[in-house]
Amino acid sequence: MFGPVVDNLVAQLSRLPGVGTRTAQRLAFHLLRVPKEEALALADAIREVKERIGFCRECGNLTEEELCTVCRDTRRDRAVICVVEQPADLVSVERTHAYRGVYHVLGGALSPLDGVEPEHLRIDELLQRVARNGVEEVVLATNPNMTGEATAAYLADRLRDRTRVTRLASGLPVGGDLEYADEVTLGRALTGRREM
Amino acid sequence: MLVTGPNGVGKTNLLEALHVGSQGFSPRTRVDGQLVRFDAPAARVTLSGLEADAPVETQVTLTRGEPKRVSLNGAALPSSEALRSRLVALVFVPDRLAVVKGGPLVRRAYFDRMLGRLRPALAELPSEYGQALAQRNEALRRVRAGASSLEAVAPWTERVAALGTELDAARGSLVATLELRFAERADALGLMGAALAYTPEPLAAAALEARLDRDLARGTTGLGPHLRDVGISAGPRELRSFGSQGEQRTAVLALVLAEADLLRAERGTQPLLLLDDVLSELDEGRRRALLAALPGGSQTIVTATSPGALPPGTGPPAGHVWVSPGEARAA
Repeated sequence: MFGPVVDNLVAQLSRLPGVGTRTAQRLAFHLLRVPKEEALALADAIREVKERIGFCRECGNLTEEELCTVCRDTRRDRAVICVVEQPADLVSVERTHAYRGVYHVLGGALSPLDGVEPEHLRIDELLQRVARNGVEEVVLATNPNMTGEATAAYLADRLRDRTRVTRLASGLPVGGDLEYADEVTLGRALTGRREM
Repeated sequence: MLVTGPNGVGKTNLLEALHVGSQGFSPRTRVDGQLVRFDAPAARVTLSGLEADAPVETQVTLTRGEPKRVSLNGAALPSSEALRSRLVALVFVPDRLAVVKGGPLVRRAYFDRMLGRLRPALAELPSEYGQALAQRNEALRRVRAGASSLEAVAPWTERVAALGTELDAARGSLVATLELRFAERADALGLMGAALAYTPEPLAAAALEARLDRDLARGTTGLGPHLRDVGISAGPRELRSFGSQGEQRTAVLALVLAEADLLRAERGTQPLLLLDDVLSELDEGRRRALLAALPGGSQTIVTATSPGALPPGTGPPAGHVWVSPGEARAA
């Protein structure tokens, strides 16, 4: 519609998650308007990240080197592995500063409807790590939704009798009011209540 | 409250608007675009009233090509589900006869929605089960097509079994709680010996594994609450196949009234009852029984072609609205 060059940019942008054609057009026109250096800085950043960043050989986290910063850190407890779906989830757990073990990034969750099956996730790598490294506990921190729960159940099955397997608790947000909790969350919190 | 007017002037339309305004969707269609007048860009329903003596105002705006907007007492709600969890309207429209005479799918959907109204913590359970089932079926089809291995089915078998057992037990307990009130309500409307039947059956992963070959061949899961049915009978007769039109109608009405009883007893909510054209096919005795059975605390809106539908000797309705094309006014 605006010539092949602009159309190509719009098409490339609209492939990004959460970006529809209209947003892609707005972004494209924005890029056309800004100074050349600013637009090229974005292009360079994309190129650099794709050229320099890869996946950690051990855990699948993002890294510029063979091993990620967590796996290189000698103070981390290698007997505990926290399993997450995506690198972004790892960042969230890291922000708690409450976890001193290492991670394993699966790269997604099981979902046949999206064509994701066990062999598409880094599950064999996880089993090998557990067999090799004397792992004492695997913490399953996949998302508490349909696909995350199924993935956790599947992993728990595969890891049974090999090591201790735990799952993140689900319940009420800290600092929230019961008054505003939705029924499902509150119901789960009631089911998972504990002795005091 | 009685709503009267000749055929085709918009009585049902008025009830539909009340349902949209209180529940966020139409009992007739899930396609919101169908609710907007042909030549208009948008439709809006604003309702005001009292809920447990506190004023309440809702607004539902449907604009073509945009998500619907729902607000309660001036504050925007994230979804129409949020409105439904605050206000309950139960509706009887002639289409609802399908709950008794239609296929099992209609009954499952009806009782699963009722589950959400009566046990809000379980409102998502039917759809979660549906998601797990869709994943398992897709996994089965991928194995059949040679695109995947049996190992990929296992996690979904487990999910389907766990959620299926939970859903089946929830349905069983819902039907058990409803049963007695349903029988009483049906009895008062002249349908003797009415009963509901649903025996929960735990869905074991082993039972699903045992029929894996058949499931693989069909590419779909052949066992679970998505294939079960709620029995509705009078004496020895299943009303779906052996009930008269009048008995089927009475059974649906008894279900609506029994649910209203439960909502009042268990949740302390007074549902708005919308009864479209319920009097026309009932004899005088049943019409009298129905009107006497309407719950006192909640508002009930009944449509009829003329005030003569009320049996002689019935007291005047609390309100009477006369509908003519494009207009509704107090009679």
